[in-house]
Amino acid sequence: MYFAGIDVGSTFSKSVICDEFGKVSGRGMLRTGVDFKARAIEVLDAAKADAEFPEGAPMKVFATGYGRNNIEFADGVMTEIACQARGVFHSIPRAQTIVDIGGQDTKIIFVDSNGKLGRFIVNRKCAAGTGAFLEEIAHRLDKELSELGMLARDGQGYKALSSYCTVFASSEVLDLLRRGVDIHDLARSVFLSVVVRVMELATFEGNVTLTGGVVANNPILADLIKEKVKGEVTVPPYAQFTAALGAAIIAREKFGKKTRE
Amino acid sequence: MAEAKFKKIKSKAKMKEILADNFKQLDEASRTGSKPIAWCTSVGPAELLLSMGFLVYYPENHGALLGATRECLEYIPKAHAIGYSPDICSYLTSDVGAYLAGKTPLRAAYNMDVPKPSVLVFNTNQCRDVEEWYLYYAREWGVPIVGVHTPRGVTDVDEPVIDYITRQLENLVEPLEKISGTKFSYEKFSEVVGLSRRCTDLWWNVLSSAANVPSPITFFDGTVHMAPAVVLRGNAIANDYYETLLEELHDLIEHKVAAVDGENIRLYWEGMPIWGKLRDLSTFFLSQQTNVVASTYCNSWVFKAFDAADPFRSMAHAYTELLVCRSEEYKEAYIEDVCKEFKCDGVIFHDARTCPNNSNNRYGMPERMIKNHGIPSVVINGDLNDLRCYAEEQSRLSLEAFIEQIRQGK
Repeated sequence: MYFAGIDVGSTFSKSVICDEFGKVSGRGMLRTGVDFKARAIEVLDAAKADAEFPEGAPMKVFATGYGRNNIEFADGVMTEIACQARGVFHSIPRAQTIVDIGGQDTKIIFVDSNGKLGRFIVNRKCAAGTGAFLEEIAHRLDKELSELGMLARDGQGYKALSSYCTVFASSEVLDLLRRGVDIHDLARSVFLSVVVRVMELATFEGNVTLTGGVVANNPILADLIKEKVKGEVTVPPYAQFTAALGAAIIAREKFGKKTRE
Repeated sequence: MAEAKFKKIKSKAKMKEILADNFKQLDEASRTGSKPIAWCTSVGPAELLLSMGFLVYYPENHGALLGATRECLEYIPKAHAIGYSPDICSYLTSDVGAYLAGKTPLRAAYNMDVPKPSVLVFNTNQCRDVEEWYLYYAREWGVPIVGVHTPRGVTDVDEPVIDYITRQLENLVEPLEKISGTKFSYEKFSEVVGLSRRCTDLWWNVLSSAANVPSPITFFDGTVHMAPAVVLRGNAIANDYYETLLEELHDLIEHKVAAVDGENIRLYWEGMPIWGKLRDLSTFFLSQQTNVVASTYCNSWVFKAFDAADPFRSMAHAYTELLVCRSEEYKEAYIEDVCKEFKCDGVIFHDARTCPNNSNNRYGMPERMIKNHGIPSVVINGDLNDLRCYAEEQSRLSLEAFIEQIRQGK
């Protein structure tokens, strides 16, 4: 028996396949687009191909993410908050604060030393502190987001972006450019403003684990968060896949868990 | 899996009748001038007005109707356009916007226009916005406005506070006599306060039925069946209605009929309803086998201090001990008590963008609830009427994850 988790996120869909022992055998990732159901099938196929999945082998699937309720073939559904907690704890079994920075929203999730989901906070109806904010600013500066991250690594100074509103913050960026602020410092300030917004959501407790595509693709964010928190800051391998992994692990726990002797 | 079904409460038909009759009387008085009409805030001094021969109209009820029908989404921007901020009460902007548009859901519901007032009567126990709301119409129509200014952040409703409010209530008598042309009668006032007290007791019994496991009603039922307690308290007809409803609820309790089939999680709703999403939310909770069994909102029309033997002071007490004008310390203890009584597994804090006074998550309450009382909670961002402020996907996700979190701990 195999177990799959499919995380249909707002920007990317991810899938993870694991075996009865919880060992990951394949992953897939595709842009979500507009047809959640079709993308879920495709991203699962991608993970199957990656896993060299035996044709016809039995599999149970859990769906999560924004499109979770559109995946009719799933055997179960859980929120990405529960799946994120489970997936991260599977890789990093400790009490921790999970900071998941996604394309459309940001979540702070507290997990205890037994892996139990505690309090969680989802950002308000606002793009500040999310990937959408970074994409907007990169677009305004006529850069790719990855390029903005590279520029930020060489920045030193910090010009505070004070607005909560992405559109107003974008105007502030243009104003700073007009006043001749160095592009590297400006890029660093943009990423720091995301960190500030995220850290406003809640007080982080203990060690911090960062997940989500925005963190996976922009290592500068982890560097900046490390400067601001006391505990250990970890970015797990495959940080974009942790919710999908959690869904696969939950499917395994529900439908047939085995432990190695 | 078969889709979960709503349980119908049969008494609702009777409620519709008495509400229709009430609005018919208001419409006739408005058109013919046969009786004076007072507009009154929903927890304003209605008993005094009724005792002096006024028919009482509650604009907040109109606000809720505008929200529930979602008509307000068309009207709110009209109020913004004349200088009323998107950040102030969306009941106010819904109502003023509807007035500017010349529209009202009362036409479809009761074939009538909004009744014209002889006087506007407020109590700021809820907020400052209710006074501003009435001031708009006072300026627009040249109608007299009188009211009560209640202190905020009250911990103990003690004698000095009651003295202060009582004096203000007594001072309303003279101007109201002039407007109504009716001499104030202490006996009549006492009688109306007695009727309101009875209404309170019956309404509280209705709400308390949800303390049963399983509960025969939901918070969403409460937002419907509270209408007589809001707009008809002080009238015997409201009490008759609740007697009927209670009979039905007792029957449901006896037969262990659950409002939510398979109820296994019970929650407390803190804050305003999201009127335009009541159906969506109640369907969602039904699908999650979760019942919202208690709320600050429905409990806000419980006035246990009313005493016919001392109508002015007891009214001052009753309208000042509402949660909305109390201190954080009092609110925390109150929510904890209700959670215990109704066996709630957690609290949903609705942070209503335009209703800060009814958004009790804003001063660290969710953190204190878990730290001091072990009661978990979740915050959702929304609004009573202005659905532009409602983050539907984030809210749905948060509620679903909250239920998963509670279920995991059971």
